Amino acid sequence: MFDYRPGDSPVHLLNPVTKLAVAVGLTVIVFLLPNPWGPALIVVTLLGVAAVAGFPGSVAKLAAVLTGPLLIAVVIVQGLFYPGNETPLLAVGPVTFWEEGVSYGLLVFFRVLVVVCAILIMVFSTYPKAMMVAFIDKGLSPKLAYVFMASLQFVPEMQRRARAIIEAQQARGLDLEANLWRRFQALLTMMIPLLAGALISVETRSLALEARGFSRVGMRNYLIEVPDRTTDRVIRWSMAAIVVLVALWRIVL
Amino acid sequence: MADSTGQAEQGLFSRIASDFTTRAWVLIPVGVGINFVGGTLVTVLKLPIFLDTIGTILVALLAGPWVGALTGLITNLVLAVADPTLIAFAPVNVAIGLIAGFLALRGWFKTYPKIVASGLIIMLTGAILSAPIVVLAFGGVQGSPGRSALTVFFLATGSNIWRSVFTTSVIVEVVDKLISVFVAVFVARAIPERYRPQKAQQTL
Repeated sequence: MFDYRPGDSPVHLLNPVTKLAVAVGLTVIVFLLPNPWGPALIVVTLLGVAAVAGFPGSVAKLAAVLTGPLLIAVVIVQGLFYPGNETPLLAVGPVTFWEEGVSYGLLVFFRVLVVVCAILIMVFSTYPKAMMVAFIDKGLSPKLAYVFMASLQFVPEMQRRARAIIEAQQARGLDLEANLWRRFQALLTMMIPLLAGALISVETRSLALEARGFSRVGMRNYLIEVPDRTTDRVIRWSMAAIVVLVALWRIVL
Repeated sequence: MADSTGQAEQGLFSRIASDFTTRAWVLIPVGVGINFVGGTLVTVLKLPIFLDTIGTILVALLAGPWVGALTGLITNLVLAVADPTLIAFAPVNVAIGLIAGFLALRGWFKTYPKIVASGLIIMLTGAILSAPIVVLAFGGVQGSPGRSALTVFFLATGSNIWRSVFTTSVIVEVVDKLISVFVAVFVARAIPERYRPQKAQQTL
């Protein structure tokens, strides 16, 4: 689920809070920029960062899979129907693609691509537990951190259970190729054992957590330490400054 | 574990805090898992729906609106590590948790006509909240090619982008949310009394 790629590049060594701050800052910036060139340039820069971290191919591939359909759909929708369309760009039979719409479609696409790339770089380069410790250091409630980590671990486990139940029901004659109504009925025969089982395990988990002091207040110690270096602070403040500058530039213009 | 008696005299903040018992905290990852696994099941069964909010609705039923809302938030944050675009839709999932929880507290999950009404209210909440996100952040496009094709159809018939996106999402999600609500209620009722959180006594 959390596809961490271990490494010791400068990107890996950054504090996770810094990476999140950069991702948030870039998100604000790309939504302030008026044309696709700025966001496209940021995408190229981010792929450079991914190359420094040692996984440019993975980021590019996953980002392409996630945003490829968006590119096609948004260029069609905006290219044909953008309210500001004035200049014809390309006529295919009876339909005309307009320059303004295609440009806006590309802007939307590159904005989303920037956010996707920034978050993927953060996920690929951050050990999940280090991320939670870093956030707790900055004041995140340990309970929220627990819920986030437990969810990350629980999602693949639920998927394993779902597979097991599907196979068990198939062994009992469940037909995955039956008509729509039958398949809807099959849904309940899978959902109830799956969900009831998961909910009953809640009781056991909550007792186990309580026995380990889950709701105690006071100082806590962590197994791993996540340093917050000067580089991190410099990057965070520069990011904030750039966001303010871009915002001022957009308001003044 | 915190007790939820004497709620009337407490302030809003401590009332919210009293919903977050240890059992409620543990319920949240389960809800996130259910939200995710609904998608797996409909893929296997090749059903034309999503079922990606059953967990949020179920937790809201069992532990109240605030725990439901947090389940929605955590779902989109956690799944964002695999698909970052989901972060944008976190507010929708939060609102579904809140609405489902408040409806549940007022007894809207007790009879079948009311469950249908709740499903429709939840669907409308989702459609109203997701429209601005889809239009402003994704240029009117979201989800499967079929869904985009439907939006293009409405645009071609002369609707503006807002109405096209909203209508698409109502059409695509009405069946989905009704089924989600019923699955959540059936499952919640199938859970033995002793495993239910205290809150569920008010809602089921």
